[in-house]
Amino acid sequence: MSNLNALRFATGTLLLGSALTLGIYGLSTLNNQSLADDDDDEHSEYRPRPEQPGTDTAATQQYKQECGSCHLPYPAKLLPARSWQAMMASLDNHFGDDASLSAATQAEILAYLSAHSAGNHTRYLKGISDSDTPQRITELPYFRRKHREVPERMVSGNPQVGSFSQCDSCHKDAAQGKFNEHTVVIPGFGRWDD
Amino acid sequence: MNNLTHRALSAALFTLSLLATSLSYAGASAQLQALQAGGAGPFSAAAGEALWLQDNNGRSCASCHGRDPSQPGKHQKTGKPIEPMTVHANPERFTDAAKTEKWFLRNCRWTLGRECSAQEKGDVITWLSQP
Repeated sequence: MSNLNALRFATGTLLLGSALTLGIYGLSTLNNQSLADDDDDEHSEYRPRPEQPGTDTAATQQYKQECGSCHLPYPAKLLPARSWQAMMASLDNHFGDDASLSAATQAEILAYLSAHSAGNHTRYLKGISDSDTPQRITELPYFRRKHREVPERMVSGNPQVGSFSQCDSCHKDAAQGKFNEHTVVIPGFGRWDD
Repeated sequence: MNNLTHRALSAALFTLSLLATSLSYAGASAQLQALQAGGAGPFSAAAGEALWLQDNNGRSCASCHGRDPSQPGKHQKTGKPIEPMTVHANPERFTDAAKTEKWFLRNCRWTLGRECSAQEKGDVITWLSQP
């Protein structure tokens, strides 16, 4: 008798669980679809989840803290998992710097980056073949297309900016994951509105 | 009576600030003691300063941290501001041993091309934690 009850309980839990999972999955896909507009207006660029500051998960906090101590913590979704894997495996020569981490922290951050990385066939990976392992976000065709109208002299040739890697020099809300064109102010040149 | 209250408050505040100051230096002391326990020392602030300014093929600690560690620095490549390194200017320094080790490892390898010895770390911490 008690066996039967246990069985009922297990079945009930399973059913309820599947229903909830399906529901959440449905919601998240819906959300992704609404974000995945592939036009040029940048209204729904990278949005970190969750959006409110101070409500980051522990993994997000760790990523921001460890990687953000030297540079803007770049949005994980701009590179595929294989790229993050290669990058995290060569931190002793990280674009010319030594950015070594303990093995444990390295594994945790790689897990975060992989979980949030660019999926195949997303717009960020357009023009990147499956065998490519891009390391520089600034060399992605997606990135170049987004910045093709910005003259070199305003960025690389601008001592107040230095290079295209320094997103937050011009994207004033980059730290919040917002890269909307309307938030751009180029030091020494002013607002960017084309 | 009012005067007395005022004096008592001032004394309490003074004691608190002394306590806070000594607490912020306690981290550096503990880290120095740990290095000593490993066989290094005695440490020299002058040697720490010399290492800080030592040029290694165009690189030095000062490249990013500045020659005066009580002032903010700036990452040479990314331009990211770096908080002052002295405990006096930044009480948070040397309060987290793992963080200290992480940065010594990275920065010594990058700047000197090798890891720093316990003696060198002790000298630098001694220099940066002068009152």
